[in-house]
Amino acid sequence: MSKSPDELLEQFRERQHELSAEYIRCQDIEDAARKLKAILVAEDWDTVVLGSEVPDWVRDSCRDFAELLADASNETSNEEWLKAASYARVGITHTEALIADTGTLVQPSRVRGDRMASLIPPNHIALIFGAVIHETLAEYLGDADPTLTHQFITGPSRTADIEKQLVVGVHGPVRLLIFGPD
Amino acid sequence: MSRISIAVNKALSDSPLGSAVLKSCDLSTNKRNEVIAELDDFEETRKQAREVRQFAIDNLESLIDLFTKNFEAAGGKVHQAADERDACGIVLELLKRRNARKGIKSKSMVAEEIGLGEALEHAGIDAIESDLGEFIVQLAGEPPSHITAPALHRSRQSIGKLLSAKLKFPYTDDPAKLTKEARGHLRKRFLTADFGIAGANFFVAESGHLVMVENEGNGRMGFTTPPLFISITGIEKAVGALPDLSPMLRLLARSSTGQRFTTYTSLIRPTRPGEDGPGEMHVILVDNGRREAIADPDLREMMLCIRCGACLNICPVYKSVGGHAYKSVYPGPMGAIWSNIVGTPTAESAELPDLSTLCGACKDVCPISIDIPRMLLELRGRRPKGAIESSAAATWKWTMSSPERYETAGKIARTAGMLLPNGLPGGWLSGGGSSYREDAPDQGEEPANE
Repeated sequence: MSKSPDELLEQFRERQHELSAEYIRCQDIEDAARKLKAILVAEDWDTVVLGSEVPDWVRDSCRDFAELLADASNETSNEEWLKAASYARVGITHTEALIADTGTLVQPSRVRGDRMASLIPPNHIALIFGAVIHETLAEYLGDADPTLTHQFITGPSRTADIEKQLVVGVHGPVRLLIFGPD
Repeated sequence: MSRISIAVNKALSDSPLGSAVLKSCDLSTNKRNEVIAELDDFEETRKQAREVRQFAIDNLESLIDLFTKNFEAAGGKVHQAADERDACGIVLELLKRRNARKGIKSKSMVAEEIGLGEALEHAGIDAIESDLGEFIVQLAGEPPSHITAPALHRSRQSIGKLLSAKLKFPYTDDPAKLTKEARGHLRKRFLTADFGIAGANFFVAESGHLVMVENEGNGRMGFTTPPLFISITGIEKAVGALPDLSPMLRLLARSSTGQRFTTYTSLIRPTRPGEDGPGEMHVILVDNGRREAIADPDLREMMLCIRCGACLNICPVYKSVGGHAYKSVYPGPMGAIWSNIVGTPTAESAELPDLSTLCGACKDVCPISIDIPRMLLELRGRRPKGAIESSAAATWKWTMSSPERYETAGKIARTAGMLLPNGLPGGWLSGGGSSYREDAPDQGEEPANE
């Protein structure tokens, strides 16, 4: 029997802990905005880049606390984006789909910034409000847009190349925070 | 003594090497067993995965044509390389055309196979390895010793000494601190590289996607920041359509690193206008003996391999001697066959099928159920008699040199259900023997993954 959306979300959330990612439970958008501001201040993440389709409440939340270095919703050259992303403390991105059984975020690359925002800054905040939740990869692949580059992200970057000891944070983000429903 | 025998003996007398490799391999196998046990439909998924691979090999030329058409229609370029020389030549020509001198490389077994590192160095092109394990072995000036964990043979103390001396920071053997130092060093290169080079785990004919599976993010960096991206992979890595990736990706990470999914799995298409990513993207599909193997009914099955490394991690011989003893880019059970397929097989590669107890654990653990012992026997049988002695002798010495090793090998052999009545694993010394598990009398079915 297939799982309900709530059960799938619960499974997705459980996976994040195992993956060394942090799931931030939000009651509603106001709560999410409050929590986002609190994290930016507490962590001193004062420089931000945004991927495409990030909602306006995120821009509003960042405004007073952090400098918005690049926004995929605006036209910016590749060079400027690269410079901004490598300087930014955090990248914030929208998530199109989730895969519950592996705890995976699916973020296709649509416009300039969509590859860099989730990869280059040392911290990544992924918003999953409105994301379609699938139980397995097979469900997602059945409908995937064949013309896009699809990025599947499962936890922060990691390696076990030294004596098989897990180290989180290699070339991609050291921290992955997921803002989603309670 | 042959070079293989010398290398085996050297490895056997190096006990820190033996314990580092054994520890790492056992850890990987245990993690693999845990996540495989979660799958209620493991055998069904395995069957599907094999069907996907079999379909690809049976229809390879039309899948390559379709992939080429789709990848090129999206703005990329597909090249076919007949052999090592041809493949390196294409890379060098692409770099020359753009005057690209500084690059960043992600992990690619095919790049190792074709000797790309040496070719780039010879041409005066500076290409730094960015996978942490590959970076470590590049700095040490040695080849990787495992297909998915290149620095597996090195202790953290030896890595600490190496990195602190080469990157000039105070000695530490803390893996987190060492990783941070390497990250800082490589980050500068990522941001200024003229080109990125990486391998691909699959290419999808119907959609024109390259598939890259990795954990560190260096693979993603390579197809995001540099203006030119070159992907090198074997012609056999085709799959038909996107849904075919599902069983493959479900089993690859689980078999390889014991993860449910790798941190980053990317389905890559040539960069579209207005997107970030390389303006120029190329794929080099390397033959280098693969078509010949596909035409060989006895070795064709090896082309189903997805290079997960599970057969290395479980192999009693690999676990004792480590990857360098094989004197080949591809070590372990799959490597003993693969080394006789790609490039120009040598007298040494002909000896590699002897570095096996034929216990059958490799076949049991393989996500595609490839019958590795059958092909090891086939390759043993193809050799002129007499070429066998030296390595068989080395193998014997290896067995007896340590009670722990003998015990480990025995355990694995028992798990695979093929220990012979005299206590010796079948095929141990037989050279061209035939006593691997399917031939062993009255053995219980006890798969290694349970």
